[in-house]
Amino acid sequence: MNKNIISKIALLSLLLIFSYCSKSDDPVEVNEVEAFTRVVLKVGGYTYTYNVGSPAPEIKLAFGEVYGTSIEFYDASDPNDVENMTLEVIEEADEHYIFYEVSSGVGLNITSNSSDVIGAESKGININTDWTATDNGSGTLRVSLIHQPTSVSGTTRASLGGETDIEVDWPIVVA
Amino acid sequence: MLNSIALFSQNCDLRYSGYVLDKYDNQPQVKALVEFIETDYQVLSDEDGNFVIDGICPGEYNLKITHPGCIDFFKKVSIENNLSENIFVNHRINQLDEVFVEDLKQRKLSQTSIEKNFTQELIQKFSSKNLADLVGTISGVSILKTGTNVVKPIINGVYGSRVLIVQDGSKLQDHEWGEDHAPSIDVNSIDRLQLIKGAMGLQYGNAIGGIIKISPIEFIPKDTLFGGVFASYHDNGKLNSSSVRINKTKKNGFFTTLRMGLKSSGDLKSPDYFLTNSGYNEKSGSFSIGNKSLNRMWRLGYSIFRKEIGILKASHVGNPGDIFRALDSDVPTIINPYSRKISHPRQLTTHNKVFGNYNLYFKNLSKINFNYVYQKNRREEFDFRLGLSDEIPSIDITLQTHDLNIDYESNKSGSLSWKTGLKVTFQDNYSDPETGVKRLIPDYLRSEIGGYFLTAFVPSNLFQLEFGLRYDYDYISAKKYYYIKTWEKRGYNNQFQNTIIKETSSGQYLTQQDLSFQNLSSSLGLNFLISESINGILNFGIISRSPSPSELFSDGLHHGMATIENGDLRIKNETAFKTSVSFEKNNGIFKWNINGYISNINDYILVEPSGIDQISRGAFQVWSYRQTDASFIGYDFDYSLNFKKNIYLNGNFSWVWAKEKSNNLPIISIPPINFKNSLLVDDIFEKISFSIYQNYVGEQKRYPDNNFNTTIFEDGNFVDKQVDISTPPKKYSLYGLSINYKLNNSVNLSFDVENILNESYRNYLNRFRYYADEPGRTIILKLNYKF
Repeated sequence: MNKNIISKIALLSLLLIFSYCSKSDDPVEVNEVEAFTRVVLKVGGYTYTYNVGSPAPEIKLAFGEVYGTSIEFYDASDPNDVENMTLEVIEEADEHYIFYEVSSGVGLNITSNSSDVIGAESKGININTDWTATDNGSGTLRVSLIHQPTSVSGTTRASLGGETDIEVDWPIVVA
Repeated sequence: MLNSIALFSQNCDLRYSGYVLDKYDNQPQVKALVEFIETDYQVLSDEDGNFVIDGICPGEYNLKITHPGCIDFFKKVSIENNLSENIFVNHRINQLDEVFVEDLKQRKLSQTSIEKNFTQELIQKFSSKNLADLVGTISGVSILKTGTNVVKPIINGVYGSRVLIVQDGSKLQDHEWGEDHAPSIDVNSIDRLQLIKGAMGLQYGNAIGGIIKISPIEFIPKDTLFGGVFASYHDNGKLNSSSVRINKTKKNGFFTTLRMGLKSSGDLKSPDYFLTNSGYNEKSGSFSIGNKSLNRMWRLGYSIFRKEIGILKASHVGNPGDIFRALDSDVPTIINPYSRKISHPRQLTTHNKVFGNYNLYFKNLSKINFNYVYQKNRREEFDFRLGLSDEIPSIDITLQTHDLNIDYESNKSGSLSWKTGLKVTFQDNYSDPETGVKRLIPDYLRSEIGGYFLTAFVPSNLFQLEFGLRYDYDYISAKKYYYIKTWEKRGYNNQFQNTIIKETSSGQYLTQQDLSFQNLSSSLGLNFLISESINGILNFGIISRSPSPSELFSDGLHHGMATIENGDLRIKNETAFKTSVSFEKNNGIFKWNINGYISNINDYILVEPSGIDQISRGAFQVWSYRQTDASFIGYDFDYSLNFKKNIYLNGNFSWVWAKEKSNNLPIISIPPINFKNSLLVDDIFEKISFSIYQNYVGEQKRYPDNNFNTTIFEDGNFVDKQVDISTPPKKYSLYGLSINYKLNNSVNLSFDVENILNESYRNYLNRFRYYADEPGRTIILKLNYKF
């Protein structure tokens, strides 16, 4: 009788094995939908494009000039289907803030522009900005897209809190 | 607990009496349960082993004798006249036996293992907490945490797949998903809990660290309904927890159990601030039905466990700069007022289980057991999703497992007994692509076939020997996408080129990974009496385990840690050579137990930083799995001093030391030195017990240096800052008290205060120690009602 039970169970096991092995569909490919892989800065008439994995291009500014600047974010992980994520940022403007840090060797002031998108604390989120080149020099511009900042009134990255969605360092020259 | 009315007919005035004695030394067996199965006739033997059953109707009866530490004794008795006889039970030969009766708390899974049985009182004490918190009370067991609610046990310095949790006869699944996953068990659902330290549990699998075994109680066949209600409240987090259980048993051996539990907590508070988003909601339930008779037992059941867990908001860091700022700040970067709402980031885990068990007991006292368990684990993680609904999870994995076990256990009347069994497991892991996030664990199928053989040799009372052998064949078939860049970077292009199925338009390879592993493990245990009161146990084990899917395939961003975690296809089996020795004194005023071990683990699998990867969020640390030969040494010490009738001083101490052999460097996440002491006054007016305790945790001075640099903009300059993720927190001491009031046999009230001094501290074994302090003072009220 026991042998009977064992053989039944063995049979059941075999059935299970076969039913499992017959499952052979390929899993669906996942293309990450929310990855920011490209950042575009439109500074005056110039366009500077950063793609993840390669260094950001150098931004050249002329001393004394004021540049109307806009920033755009893209998901280009699938080259055949590049998605503009800027609209998503604008849609959730009260949860986002773009923060610019300029190293001390460069004379550059960045302020929110009148056409900027308004977010938390009724402040512009720095999608559209005015760049004023105030002194000659070279250095780095760090651009951070911050998600859910604890405050947007501070002047240091630490005072803003939140989670960093993107952080890109651009070499910058004012001449 | 049990209450029944015996139905006597007119001629029922016969007496059955005698003595229960040990077969080997004729020692009387005190409090042995003597019963006629399927009837109400049952008594306990007295101090001399004597028992008397009166008022018996003439007839044939199935006699059963149960005693702690003995094999159950069965015999047919025919009562025509008054009958008196002596019964000899096998007192020592119960190594492989597992027939439990609720009263038999001391019964061990194996006589030659280093193990701990948890009392009902202790399990109830932790009913509003986690399984890991409960087993963490044992010396040598620590807790690995991710925040406050994701906790898992560490035994003798190892964790994860190295610690097996066995419930309803088979391994609890979900460790395959990595470190930040907690076992899906409600403490309230635990009837019996046993823990084996070390290598002596080969029946259940290849566990290097140890085994935690959860099993149901067995019922005495009587017509009765019993159960309990449990409720508790924690002031910290305003946690409330309740559970109800109902058991119905019948004289013919039928039994059924229904259980439901709810737990809910809001944000916890550390001494200085709220831990925002640290609440959880847990629901669980189970139902089982069965029948036990003299020659067979069956049991069927279903259980569900669902837990929604808030993940500390301040732990949601986007890039290494965020970690630096979190570490640099004394308080969490996000602190909100108290809330019960669980918001993003959060986890949702669901565990469904169906099980069936069938036991056949043969006349010669051997038995056969069939056990089938189906488990379905689902895990969803919800993060902030830009441009997507937050209701779309970023991780959504479903793991389905079928386990079938067949065990045969020989007659145990001689000095030699044995047990053997076969296990078949099928597993299917599915990661939903709708998440739009690269799968952390790929889709895979896994089959395992294993068998074991255990034998026990008991030549005399002074000496017992057990030997075990286990073999497993493990086959994993996964289909996994790799970005071509990643594939080449990891050097897979030569060795694994033939696994590529196709190349996609977006630059990924779809690959077919068919991996097989064989594990041969063995163990040897000796138990010997050194003197009348001192017992020695010696264990040797060679345990081999397969790498888990997370160690092989992990591929993605770990949000709470802001690290990228990579598995490695080249990882092979890990083999531990463990020697443990234990001495214990289990009687007298001063009881103690010391357990030392040396474990050399070849090809120990660990995860650690291997470089920096530039992604758009910034420069991320990459953690990769790799293998190295490691060595663990440690000891645990327990004592109990009963210096006055009802006053006890209890405590334990544990220490573990580990290194990588090749470079003598320390290993990450090894528990620091710790000791606990408590003073217990029991039976005050026979109703109250009172205890105070102290728990000291040292600073872990041995840790690997995984620090890295990140550039931070400071005063107009970019400066390189070190991100110190390695240095363990300072030592700390916690104090608490506990008062228990037993109103009557059915109602019990308790009042506990934890962290009574409201100490601010951080815990090295908590992966969220970078972000926040541990919870502060907590007052706990509990009510337990039994009927």
